[in-house]
Amino acid sequence: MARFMLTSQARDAVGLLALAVVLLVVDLTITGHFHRNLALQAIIFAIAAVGLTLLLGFAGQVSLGQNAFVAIGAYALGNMVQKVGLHPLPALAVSTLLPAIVGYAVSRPILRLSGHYLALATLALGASAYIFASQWTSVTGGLDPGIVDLPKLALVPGLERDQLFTLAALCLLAVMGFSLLLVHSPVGRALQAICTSETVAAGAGIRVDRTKAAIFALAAAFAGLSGGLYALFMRSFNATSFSILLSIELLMMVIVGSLSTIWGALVGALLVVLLPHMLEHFEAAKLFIYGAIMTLVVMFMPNGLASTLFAGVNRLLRGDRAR
Amino acid sequence: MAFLLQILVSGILVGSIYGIAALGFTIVFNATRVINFANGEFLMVGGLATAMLAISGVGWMPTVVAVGAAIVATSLLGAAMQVLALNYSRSRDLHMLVMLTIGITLMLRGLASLVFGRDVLFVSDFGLFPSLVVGQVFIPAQGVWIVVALVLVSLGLWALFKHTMVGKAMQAASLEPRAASLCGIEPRRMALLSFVIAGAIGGLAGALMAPIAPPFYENGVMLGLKGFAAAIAGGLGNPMGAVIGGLLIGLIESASAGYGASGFKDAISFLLLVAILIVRPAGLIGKLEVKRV
Amino acid sequence: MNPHANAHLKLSGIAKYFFGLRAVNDLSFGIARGEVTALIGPNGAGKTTVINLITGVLAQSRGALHLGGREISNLHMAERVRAGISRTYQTPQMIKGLTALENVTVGADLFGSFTMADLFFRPWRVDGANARSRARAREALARTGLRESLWETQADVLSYGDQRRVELARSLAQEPSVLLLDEPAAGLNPTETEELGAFLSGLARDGLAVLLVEHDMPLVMSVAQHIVVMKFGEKIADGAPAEIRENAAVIEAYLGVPEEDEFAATDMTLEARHA
Repeated sequence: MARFMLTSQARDAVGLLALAVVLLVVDLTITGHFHRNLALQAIIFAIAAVGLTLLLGFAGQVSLGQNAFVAIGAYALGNMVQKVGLHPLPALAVSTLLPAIVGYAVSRPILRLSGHYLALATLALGASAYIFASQWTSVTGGLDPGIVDLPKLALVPGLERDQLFTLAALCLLAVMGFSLLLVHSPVGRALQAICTSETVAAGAGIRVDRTKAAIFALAAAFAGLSGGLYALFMRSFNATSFSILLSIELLMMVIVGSLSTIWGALVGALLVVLLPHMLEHFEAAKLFIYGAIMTLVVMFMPNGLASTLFAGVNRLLRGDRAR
Repeated sequence: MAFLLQILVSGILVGSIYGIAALGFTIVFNATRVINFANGEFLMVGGLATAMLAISGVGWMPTVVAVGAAIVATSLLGAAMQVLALNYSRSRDLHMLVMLTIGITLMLRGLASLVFGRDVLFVSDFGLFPSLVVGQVFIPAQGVWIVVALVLVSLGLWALFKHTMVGKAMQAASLEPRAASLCGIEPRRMALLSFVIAGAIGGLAGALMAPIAPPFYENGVMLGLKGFAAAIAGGLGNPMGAVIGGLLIGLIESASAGYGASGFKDAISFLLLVAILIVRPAGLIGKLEVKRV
Repeated sequence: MNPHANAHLKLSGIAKYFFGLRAVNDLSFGIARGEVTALIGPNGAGKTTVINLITGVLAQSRGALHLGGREISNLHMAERVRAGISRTYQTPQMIKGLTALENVTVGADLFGSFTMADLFFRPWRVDGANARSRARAREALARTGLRESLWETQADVLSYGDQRRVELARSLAQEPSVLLLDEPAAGLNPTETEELGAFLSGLARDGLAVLLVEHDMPLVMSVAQHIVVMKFGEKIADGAPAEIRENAAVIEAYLGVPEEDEFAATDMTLEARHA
């Protein structure tokens, strides 16, 4: 009974292909507005979740301020399209690059901190970002009205399809592809070394500061891309979308997903987006449920919920075959 | 001039609350070397519990009962938190502990929103002291309670740590847990005590501020961050510094609110926290990983 | 008398103060390529601190470090590694989430210098970088004798002895000129210790400058060609094993003074202290 062992590269390729197929199928078969929107939201936030998985799961840096970068991405897109008249695609590029630059600039000083200090510092930054979003009305429109009436995405004029879904799906595939490449490269290994011990990482010749800053900037870039797509999706939004709760939900996606593989981010994003709609009275108990899940997962499933379940299923399957 | 004094008064009032919150962080840190992420929630629960229990209106007897009950509630909360968090802290990665404390904080907040509802609650002044108007400066009656509480709490804690066996035991347990346990001090019990004290004073602070800053289940984050900022500003682990830090942050906030940037006043405190952490984390010897790598 | 003229790694007047405590004081010695140098001394002598100073985990309060004639006193950790210094730890430090081979690849990745920027601008290079690192890693791992069947096992579930092999391989994969080992024999049985000794001698023969911090005296005496003895942060002896064995100061430091002359011993020790 031979185990069919694919090289990790082949597995990645297969995974990406499968994801592409799934996305295509979803696009073609799910027609109801409500469900399409859920799927789209899951795709959009999965992008940010992948970034956070790399930052938190792989490199071990706790960031509670990702909402800031999503906000920057969203407002960048809104402003570029409305005030500068930029085409959505280059605007999206700005959504991705601007947070990356800000993230890199912030990261150098901030990543000298670790553990609780880093968490609190990023929380403070995230909270500040929300305040800026609500107060800096000239750029963000504040809480009321915010950014209003962005045009529906029409990259290919005349095509009567949901182009945003395709765009978001392509972005997700690109992000996954890049991240998979990263994980199985010297950079990915360096992140895991840093997570274990910065001293040991440095002792292996890894430039710890630079690597941490780079991954922080990357996570910021992905969050910004999510923000830009979110802006295209919502077309009207205000600061309330970018409160600390967003950072918490992104954190939940990673914890519910996996701390050791980026595929977990997809599962996590889907679950967190769907959860409110699966449980009645969820809104009221949302924080408690999040807190409870986080506490339990950290205590009993330190690899992330989906990861642990997947490993369990794996063991079950292998057990079956052995019979 | 009156304007300046008013800012000063507001700053001291708000700063006193932050100072008590900062003391909560400091006590737990001194006893356990752990940053209690959920410290702000003690204040939040204290405020909400007081609001719910207080019979609004005249007299301060019912209020005393309400405040007392709130303090008991937060103390118990503190105990529960310690049991959950500290039992985990020695064994795993640091960032798991961080996420555990975040999870606990969320549960608390969620529980509060379920138990107390999601509305802002209103509590009337505690009474007894009158509001003062000195020249053109308005000192709310509640303010006196707050400052008195700060002074009493500070003195009480100072006495505890400097002059009682329990206080010294707590410090010993955090610095050298094994040596302390050889001397018959149980680090776990000391940790529990520290969480209970932090819970109690947090609850007291929350109760006291309830009349002037209506309690709301989302308050905990803000208060927690500002309390932490105050604790760091004064040098983490230094109780006197915590109080001074609190007053400082309160004054800065009051000043920025007074001089125009009122919408941003919270952001200023937060950014100050980040700046301090980055530039001058004095007093964080050993805990902070600043490496030449 | 300068036995360290050809020293590959040279410490000159190195001192380290921690808030008034002199952990290391005026330490000068050198280690040469092709030799195993042992750093010994009673507990608390400062031996691990010396390793931390050499690798750059700690910055010296005073003094200078030279590697191959070049001053490295102010280089960061990662730069010192690139310059050729590698170390193992008292407890083997396995990188979590990686297999044994992957752990060693982290060491080998040093040569690829593959960064995030490369991922963006030259993503096609990932394969080559991985392959080259893997090849180097396999070589290093084979050298340490870790069973091939264990190479794809998660490193943190391996036995202690095997983890030590992985850590050694990780260091060797960096092709250092100086290898610092912090109590590598701790927790090994006599057979394993002998194997370790033979392995270290082999490394020295291959041209490495090996610095061994150890408590296991038989291992030290059998393997080292050069011994440096420390006590309370200071060097008290420096020379070939035969000389060290006879050295009075060393004997006193380790074994105390012979029993026959207890009172005379006390006087002598007092004298020595006030000298």
